[in-house]
Amino acid sequence: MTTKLALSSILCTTILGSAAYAADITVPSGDEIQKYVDQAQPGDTILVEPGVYKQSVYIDKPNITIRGLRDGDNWAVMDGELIRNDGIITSGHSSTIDGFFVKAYKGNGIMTQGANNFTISNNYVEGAFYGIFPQYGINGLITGNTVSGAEDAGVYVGMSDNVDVFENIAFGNVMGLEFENTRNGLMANNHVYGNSAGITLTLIPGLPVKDANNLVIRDNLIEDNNIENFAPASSIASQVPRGIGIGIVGPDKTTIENNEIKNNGTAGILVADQTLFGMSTDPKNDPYSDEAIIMANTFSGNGEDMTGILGDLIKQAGASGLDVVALGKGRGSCLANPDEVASLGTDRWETCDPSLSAAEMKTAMIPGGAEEPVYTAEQKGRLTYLAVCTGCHTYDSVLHGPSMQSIQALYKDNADGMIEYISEPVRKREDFPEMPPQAYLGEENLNAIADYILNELGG
Amino acid sequence: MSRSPRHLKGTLLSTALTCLISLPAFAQTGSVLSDLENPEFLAKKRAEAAEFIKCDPIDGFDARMAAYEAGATAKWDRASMGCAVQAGSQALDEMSLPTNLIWAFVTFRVDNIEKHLEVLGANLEYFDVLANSYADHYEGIEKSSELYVRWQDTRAQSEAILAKIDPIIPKVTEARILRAAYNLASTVKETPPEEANAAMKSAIEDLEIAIAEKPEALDGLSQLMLGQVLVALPPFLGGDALRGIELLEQANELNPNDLTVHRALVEAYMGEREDEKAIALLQAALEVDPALENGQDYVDDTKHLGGLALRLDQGDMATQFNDKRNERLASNPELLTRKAIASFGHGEENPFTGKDSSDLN
Amino acid sequence: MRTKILALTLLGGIAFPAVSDAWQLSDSCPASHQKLADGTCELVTLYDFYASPDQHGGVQAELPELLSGRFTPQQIDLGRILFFDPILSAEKDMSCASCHQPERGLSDGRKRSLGATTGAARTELPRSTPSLWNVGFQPRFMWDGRAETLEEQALLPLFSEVEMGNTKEGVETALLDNPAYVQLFDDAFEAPPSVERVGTALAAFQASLVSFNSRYDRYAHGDASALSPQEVLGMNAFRGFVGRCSQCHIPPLFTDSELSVVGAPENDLGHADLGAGALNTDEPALLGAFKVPTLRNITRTAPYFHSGQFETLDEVVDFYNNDRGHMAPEGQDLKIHWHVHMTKGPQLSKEDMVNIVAFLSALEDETLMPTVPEKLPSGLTPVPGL
Repeated sequence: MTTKLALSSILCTTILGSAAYAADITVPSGDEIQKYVDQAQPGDTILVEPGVYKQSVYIDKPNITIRGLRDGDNWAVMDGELIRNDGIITSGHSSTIDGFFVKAYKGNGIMTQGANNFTISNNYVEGAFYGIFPQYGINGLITGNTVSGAEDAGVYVGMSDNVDVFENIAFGNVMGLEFENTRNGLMANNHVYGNSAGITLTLIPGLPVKDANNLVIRDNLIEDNNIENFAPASSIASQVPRGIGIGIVGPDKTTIENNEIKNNGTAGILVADQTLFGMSTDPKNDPYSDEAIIMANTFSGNGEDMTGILGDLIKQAGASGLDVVALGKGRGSCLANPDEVASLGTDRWETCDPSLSAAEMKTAMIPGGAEEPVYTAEQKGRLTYLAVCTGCHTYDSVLHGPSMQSIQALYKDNADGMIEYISEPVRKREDFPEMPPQAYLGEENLNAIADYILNELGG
Repeated sequence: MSRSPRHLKGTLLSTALTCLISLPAFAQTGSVLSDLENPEFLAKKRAEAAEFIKCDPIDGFDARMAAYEAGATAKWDRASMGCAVQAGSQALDEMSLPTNLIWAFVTFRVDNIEKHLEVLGANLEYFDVLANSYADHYEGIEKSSELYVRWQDTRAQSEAILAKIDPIIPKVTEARILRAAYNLASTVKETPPEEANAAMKSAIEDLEIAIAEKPEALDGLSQLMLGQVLVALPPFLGGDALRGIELLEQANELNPNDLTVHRALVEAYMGEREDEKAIALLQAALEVDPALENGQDYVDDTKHLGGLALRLDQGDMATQFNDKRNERLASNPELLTRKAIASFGHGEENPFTGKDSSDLN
Repeated sequence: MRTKILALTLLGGIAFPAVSDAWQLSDSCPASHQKLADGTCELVTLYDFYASPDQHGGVQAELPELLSGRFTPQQIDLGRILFFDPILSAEKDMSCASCHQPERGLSDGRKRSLGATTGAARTELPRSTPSLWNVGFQPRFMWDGRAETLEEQALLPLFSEVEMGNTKEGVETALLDNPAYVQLFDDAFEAPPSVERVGTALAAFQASLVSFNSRYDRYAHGDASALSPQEVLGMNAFRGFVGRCSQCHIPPLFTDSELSVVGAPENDLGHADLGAGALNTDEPALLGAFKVPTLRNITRTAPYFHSGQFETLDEVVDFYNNDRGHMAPEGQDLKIHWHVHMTKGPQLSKEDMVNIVAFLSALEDETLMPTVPEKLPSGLTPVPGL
């Protein structure tokens, strides 16, 4: 949209701040959490006492922290009892979800939908489709969680940007941790063991986000990822090869550094093109995994129990015990100390220059948080008038409500009166339908609308 | 030999592209659908499928040949093409084949050799049609049983013909090339990896001999196949992208009107990041006369070439391929568009399935 | 309000003589649109305030790209007049609004649309009339997706023998013989009537049919009180990862406009429609595929599905909640969408199902329903009942 583009370029600022009236709200053990969420104002922290909560929680407002209080082994437990759908879903920006034990949900454990600046920390998520699943978020932190038993990925960062995944434990999932169609991510100091595949970095075709790049996997312990793939047969996860420590399938500019990668039965690291899983192609994807940097990792005991199609492929080449397997047409990749790493398919790889190290990288997040466009008061007033008010009012004639001319006359020099009315309208005339309350537009927007209607709007 | 070469291109393309790393149908085992691991259940479903796809019986050589001629190129119709190819294969049972070439010329039975190669070629084409019918994901026992039965039938028909032409392979390069093609095409699906691997090795040997013996045979089909195989295989399994490209370039010179060659070579260039060469070749592909290709191959090839153009940031070219493809589809409504439904939940379609073609990016 | 206006219109709609100089096209953009410097109208909604990517599944997402392009107020208004004018049909007895009736949610309340009169009765068509809300965002039209633009779609019913039954010549002759239309086309296009311009005007009008001010939208923009507690529960089941309704019916459009195979049952006449698959013989992925409809104003357009297989939304939700393919026609080899497939049916609770239906009523918003012209240049009645 032309307007939007023009406007978004005018001014940008962060959406953080405005927590002036932040309050702590405590949920007594076993009470209904949603009730407290509904009452909370942006900036509030909801503290959930230890206890069992057989419920789901949904958050559709920004800047809410929801924290399970923990007393030793006594958690705030969200229990889906295998009958509820999802544990916690938030669509609000700047949400924090911290400290819950989330178990036995049929859908996802913890999910964000289009939420920026999120934090998901110190939770224990057990048995779900995806354990922790931020989808379409810009700027987020996932730290200190334990995820287990996911039929797809334990931590699944999908179509997101600028996400840190630190100090989590993932075991017993089809995939432990995954960056999918994600740009700018850092996974560090995680322990990933006993999954079918440990960490996967993927570019999946057919999704709205068309690329994946700048992903750093550093200082993780990735071991014994050999369990049978138990994903539903029709899902794409069912095609993830078993026995892989780290799989890179499609993304560019990936760095695998200073990880300990051991006892993964098929291979330590797999670098392959998108076509590997027999996936359909997407003309808007670059299918090759370019610029993989693999340096300073510790490998041991990988590739000693090769299974599946990938295992057969390696066997055909007469190889085994591989730390790194590269298939496909990726370019610009490098391996440090190639003599010390058992690798296959890396003939055209270079030796990594030490300057490529990501050891100093602290975070993939955006300093100050994700930005969004800011509109001037005039723009807000005019656009909101057009988007909302014109549905029922025209300038000079009667539609569902009175004409704007008559409203201008009524509230001349009385913007406050107008704001008061539109925030909580009362039926004034029998011959018009009742106007819906507009308080949700917020004080700033209401001021802007009043100013626009009373001072700018003309025929 | 008039029909085989062009008809074969699709088969060989998908063979090489998916060789080794595609998932055979039985990769579904180990899934939660335990039915698929139950041999009795599978056998029952396959028997049902065999009954379901049975062709109407045709008697007599002429009638069978006529049915073959009528339907063997209908790549858009899996059922009718299958029956046509079956009829052609059955017709060959009544046709003897000389094992001595000189004797063949003396007895005017060169035609018989050609007919055998042609029907074998149609069987190989049919492998391609079947391979395209497999979905990316598991899609139900009825469909997978049907495809399995068709695959095995086609394999049996092809092997019967191959057994007959086996004696002339040392003398007829074209027959050798088709044996290689069979080894590649018949192992794309429904084949354990060791077997597919052995078939590939045998094909590579045949193709090397054929190229040395008669490079111009079947308009460069050997180079097309071997080129694709060498591009697709990882180096540690004998792949050699640079030699593959050389061979594909030879194939293109020998048969500059074959879009399948364009498709393979453009993609090979892209794999080597030779984008300028890839773009120049796409431009050449736009000049090819559509009438020279099987309709289904044409719409499939142009779709694929358009996709490659998009990947190369050549939106205008993609639009041109799309326009040409739409023209062909409009004049041949029976052709499959291979539109895709949303497979991954969020929509976002292939750019050739309904978006304004000026908005391909 | 609405019904009252309509009643008046219908009463007064008895053949006004066409007086050419009395016709004036609107110079103002429709509600919720602003006029740009180039004279075209641009849609404005509160979703424009969000910088998040479109179709992200959350509540505050941008709208996807508007595919219809922009049109002038005159083109939109001319489209409105043509939409209601039976002059476009061969027998001058059907207009677009005959099936897309404003008082029935821009549909007709029938399992299957009625078409041209053959013999004593009107032909019943094989499929139902889709609603028109927010069609400007759609990349494909008709239940089987066979048209790719609004302009292309608009002409299909005009020329279909079983619908309006007209021809290019028939349409153009009728309009060129009508001085009022010649003048109106000149105002809108600076050119005489033509079939192409009819398509453009109808596209312009239909693109202006937007609905983004429902109670759900107010909730999305921050008014937690806009939905009842039950509707909130329904919304949560709707967007959760068990029901996964919102994976295809993605807010804010509540559709992804894709072709999708859900395993729809045969209709009450025993007909199993192949949908998009009928356009592509032996195309396995498209057998039984139909366009995902928007759920906006869905409460207004019962019965449901492409041939009215379901009378109520409860039945529809029950259908999706059950095993994959349980109602699929015998013998159809369908490749059912994986979201329906992989979970063997979501098996949501009874409460979830009831709540989802309740939520769908929060998607009602017909405030921008267009005004039916009081009279038409043809002198015909604006909405002939069928």
